Amino acid sequence: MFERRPVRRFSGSTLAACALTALATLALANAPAPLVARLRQCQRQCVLPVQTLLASAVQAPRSPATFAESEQMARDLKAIDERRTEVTAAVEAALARLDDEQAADPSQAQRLLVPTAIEARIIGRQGRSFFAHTVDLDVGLADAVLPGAWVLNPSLPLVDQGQSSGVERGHLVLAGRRVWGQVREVGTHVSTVQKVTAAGYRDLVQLAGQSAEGPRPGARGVLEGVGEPLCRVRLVPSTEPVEAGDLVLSAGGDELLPTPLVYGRIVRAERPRGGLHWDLWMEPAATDDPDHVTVVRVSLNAARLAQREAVAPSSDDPIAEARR
Amino acid sequence: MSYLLLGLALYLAPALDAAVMPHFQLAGTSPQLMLLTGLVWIAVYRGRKAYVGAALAGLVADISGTGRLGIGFGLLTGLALMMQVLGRRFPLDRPLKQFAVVSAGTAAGVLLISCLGPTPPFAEIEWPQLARWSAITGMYTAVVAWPLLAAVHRRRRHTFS
Repeated sequence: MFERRPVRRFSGSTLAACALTALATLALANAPAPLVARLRQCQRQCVLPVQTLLASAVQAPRSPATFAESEQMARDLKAIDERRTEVTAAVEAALARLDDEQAADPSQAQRLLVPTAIEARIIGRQGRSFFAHTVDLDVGLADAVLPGAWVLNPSLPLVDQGQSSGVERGHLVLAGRRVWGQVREVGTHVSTVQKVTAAGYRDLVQLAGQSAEGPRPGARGVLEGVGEPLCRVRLVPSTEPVEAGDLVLSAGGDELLPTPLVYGRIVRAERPRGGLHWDLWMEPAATDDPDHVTVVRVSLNAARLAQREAVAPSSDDPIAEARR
Repeated sequence: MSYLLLGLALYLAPALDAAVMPHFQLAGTSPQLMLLTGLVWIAVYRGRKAYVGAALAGLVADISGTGRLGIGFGLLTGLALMMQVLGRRFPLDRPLKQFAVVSAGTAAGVLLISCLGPTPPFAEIEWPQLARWSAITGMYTAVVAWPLLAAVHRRRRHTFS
C-alpha cells in the first residue's frame, strides 16, 4: 500500500568535493597577505601587455582624421594652449595680489597661529618602485630613507614631504586652492595622502549657496569619501536651503585660513521623505591627480614673535609662551 | 581544447575588464567578464569538468580582483556543486535557464564581493541601492553571455541531431 520512496543520497565524490571546496575557500580567505600581494602582482604583470594593447586600441580614434582635420585640430589646440597660458597668468597675478593684500593686512600680523604652505611633489610609479626595492633590500632604515615600511601603503598617493618638513597626520593637501586630500601616514621624508574621494575620508564642511551678491554661507555638514567619484555630505539638516550647484567649502580651519578652501560642488541634493537630513552628493573640485601639491600646516606667527622679542627680549621658549 | 579556451578566456577577461569594459558602462555598471567566464562554464558543462573549470575561474577571479581571496572561488565552485546536485531536477538545457543562472550568479557574486571585501566599496550605500546595482550588473553580464550560450546550444543540437 505504501510505497517506500528511494532516499536520494549524495555520492561520495560530491561530498568530497563539498569538503574540498569549503577547505579551499577557508584556506584562500586566510592566505597570508604578502603571498596574496605577490600573486596579484604576478598576475598583473602577466596581463599588463594585453591590457595596454587593448587600452590603446580602445582609445584610438575610430576614423582616421584627414590632413585638413588634423591641421584644424592642431590650430585649435594651439589656440587653447595660448588661452590657457593667458588665463593661468591672470589667475597667478590675481592670487599674488591677494597674497600681498593679506600680507599687508595688520590683523594677519597680530595672529598667533598662521598657516604655512609646504610644497610637495607626488611620487609616481617609478619612485614607488624605488622605495619598494629599498625596503626589500633592507637599506631603508640604515639610510634613514624610510622610518617604516608602513608608510608605503600601495593604495594611497605618496608625496615627497614628511616629518622633516613638519608634515603631520591630518594636514590638508591642496591642489591649487582646492582640497585634494589629507595626510594619512607620515614618514621621515615621505607621507601618504588620503584623497577626498577615498573611503573613510572625513572633514567638517560648510555649504555656500549662489546669490547675486556672491556666495552666501550656508549650513555645516560632514564630508565623507565613499571610494567613488562622488563624495557624500552628511548631517545637513533638511530644514536648511540646499540646492545642486552649491559650493562645498572647508570649515575646519576655524579662521586660521584667510579664505575658505574649496572642496567641490553639490551635484545631487535629495530630501528623503521624513528624513531629518539632506542626502547630498558632492563632485570634488580637484579631480585629476596633480604633479605638485601643497600641504597646509599651522605654525606660530614669526612676525608676532619678532615683535615680542623686540619689545622685551628674553630667552623664553616661544612654544612655552604659546602654551601659556 | 575546451580547457585551452578556458585558459585563454581567463587570461583575457581581467584585461578586458580593466581596459575595455569601462567604455561600455550602463547605469554605472559594466559586465563582469571573470564571473561570466566561470558561470558560462558551469552552465555548459557538467560533472568534474564543471567543478574544475569553476575552481580555476574562481581562483583567477579572486587573484585578479582586489577583494578578499576565496569569495569568487567559493561562489563558483559552490554553484558548480549545486548544479551537479540539482542536475536532474533543473537541467540547464535551454539558453533561457542558462541566462537565469548567469544573471543570478553574477548578481550574487557582485553582492558578495561588495559585502565581504576588506574595504567594501559600497559601505556607505544603502542595501536597496546595492541590490539594484548588483541586479543590473547580473542582467548586463547575462545579456553579454547570451550570444555565447546560444552558440554553444546550437552547436550541441547540431552535434547530437
